[in-house]
Amino acid sequence: MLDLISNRAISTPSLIDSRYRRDTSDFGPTADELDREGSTHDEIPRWLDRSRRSTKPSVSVVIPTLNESRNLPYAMWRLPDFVTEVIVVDGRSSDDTAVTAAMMRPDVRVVMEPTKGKGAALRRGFAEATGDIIVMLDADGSADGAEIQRFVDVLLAGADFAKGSRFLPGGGSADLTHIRSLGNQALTGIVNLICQTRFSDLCYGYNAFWRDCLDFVDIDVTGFEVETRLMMMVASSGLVMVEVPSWEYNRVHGVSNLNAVRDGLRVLRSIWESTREIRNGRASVRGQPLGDHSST
Amino acid sequence: MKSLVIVPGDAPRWVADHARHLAQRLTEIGRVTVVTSARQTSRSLLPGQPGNGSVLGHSVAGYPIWTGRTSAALGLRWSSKFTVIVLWPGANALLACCAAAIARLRRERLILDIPEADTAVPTLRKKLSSRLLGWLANDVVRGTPPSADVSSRVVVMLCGEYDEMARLAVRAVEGMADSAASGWTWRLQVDPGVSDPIDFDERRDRQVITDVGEPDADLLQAADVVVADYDAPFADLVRQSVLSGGAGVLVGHPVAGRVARCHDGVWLAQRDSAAILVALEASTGDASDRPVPVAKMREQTERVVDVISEMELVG
Repeated sequence: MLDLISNRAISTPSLIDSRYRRDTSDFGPTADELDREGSTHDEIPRWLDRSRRSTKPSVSVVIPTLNESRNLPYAMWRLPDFVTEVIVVDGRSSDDTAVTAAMMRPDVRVVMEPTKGKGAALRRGFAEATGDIIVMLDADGSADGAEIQRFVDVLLAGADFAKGSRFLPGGGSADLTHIRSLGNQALTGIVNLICQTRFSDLCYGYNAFWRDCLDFVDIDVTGFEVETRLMMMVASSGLVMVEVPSWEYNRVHGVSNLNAVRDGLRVLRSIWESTREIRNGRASVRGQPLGDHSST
Repeated sequence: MKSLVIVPGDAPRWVADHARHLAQRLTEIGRVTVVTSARQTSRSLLPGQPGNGSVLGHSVAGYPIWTGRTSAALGLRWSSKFTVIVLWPGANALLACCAAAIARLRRERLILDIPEADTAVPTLRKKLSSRLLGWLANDVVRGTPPSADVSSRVVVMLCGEYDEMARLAVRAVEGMADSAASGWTWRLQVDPGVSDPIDFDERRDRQVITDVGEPDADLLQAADVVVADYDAPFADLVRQSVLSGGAGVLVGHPVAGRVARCHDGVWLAQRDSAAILVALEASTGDASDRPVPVAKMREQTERVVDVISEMELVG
């Protein structure tokens, strides 16, 4: 089998190639066939062609901000060199966040988003991002930008979505209070039950994913419940989501815009709505095997 | 001749810097150990910031500045001739009293170094501890009262002939948040040929002074933080600034992306303004953290050293 796979990468047609193509028909119709048939029953496409992903991907970092001008240096100071663009989504800050953001790095792009909420800002950031891989990063400086390497490595190893977790060995938090930790664990348990997953951290904003995953998720929430919505949609779609240990540092300046009770309730409501959607028959995503270039 | 500098409690950055400076000056008369009781926690560390080292660094003369923990303050150490206890308003009075009593029992000469007077109404415990410490001490060196103009910290960026460093300095100055910028004064040292590109927008124009020419002693003496490029000939000045009670940032060190600080207190920054701003804040602490300017702290250090020198001469 190893020989088959290694030979498959050679583009010259051969007997082995054709045999392998016949074998892969078990995975379902090709992307072109699906397109011809127009067989998608809902707006969400059902085919993920992982073979089109670059082996040397460009990386975009999306940072939603609200009055974080003093914390922005802490969010950006340890970004790896391979990050190709940083998109700061602002628009409702009353301080000089937008001005200072543009000065942090030469590759920073500041985008103004008038709609309130982290979800709206992330949605805008995803739309603006041009990289093959998109990284979600909080602006309060609590996440270590250098950890992006881990996330990208997991994605290059075959995952579709790398989800940061503070509760895995190697991860942790200097910022999480007992109440927030308890609430997070409870909400994570509920989501695990609904989506039949085994994740350890639901409400953490440090995630990375391949850009093509955006075709299968629809971020229609505006607030802090965006991570929950994203995780449930990805998990229920059948995309490969892998947890990555991450350490959450203390917020350096100011206080968080997150309200444990109000936003906890919003997350609960988002779970309820996503659950209804899943029960109504959300389509699963079928993936083309990694490295198969037959359809390209 | 051995000396011991005890810093009882969780010291703010300026006290730690002062203790390092004092220790580096005292290495001129012998071996020095700096005892700190504060423990590093995950809350106090930045990403990439290493923990405590076996020495605080090496003095200008090349001697190591040794470190000790609470047990050393409580007597589990070799005898020293002089013990200096640095006190500030938030110091651990109980530990200071214990350390002072043990030092006197071991026939060490005890000097209290109080750079900042405690202006708060003293509690009964503080009154008792200060009486006891005053009674035990052979000498007390008190700092001058803080003046009103201490809120601004001076950053000296040594650009020299490096255009890239000068441009980076401009981006860092302009990238600083308005709410933070008022606490800083920037002085950019550049060689004559590089003065042209130093042009700031109106937001920061008043806070930046450009010094054209070689870096002089007065400029460095006024600095709270000295910033220089790793590849430039000024890198030694950064280390000297740290050893003399200030802070220092080296820009462009090969490991700056992974390690935030050297064992000797020099902070490392990559060649981008975000990293420089983080290193500046991390190396000096919050503006409210530093009630006494670095220049005055240096005077205080010299006074403590003078007292010890006199004691040594006498006996």
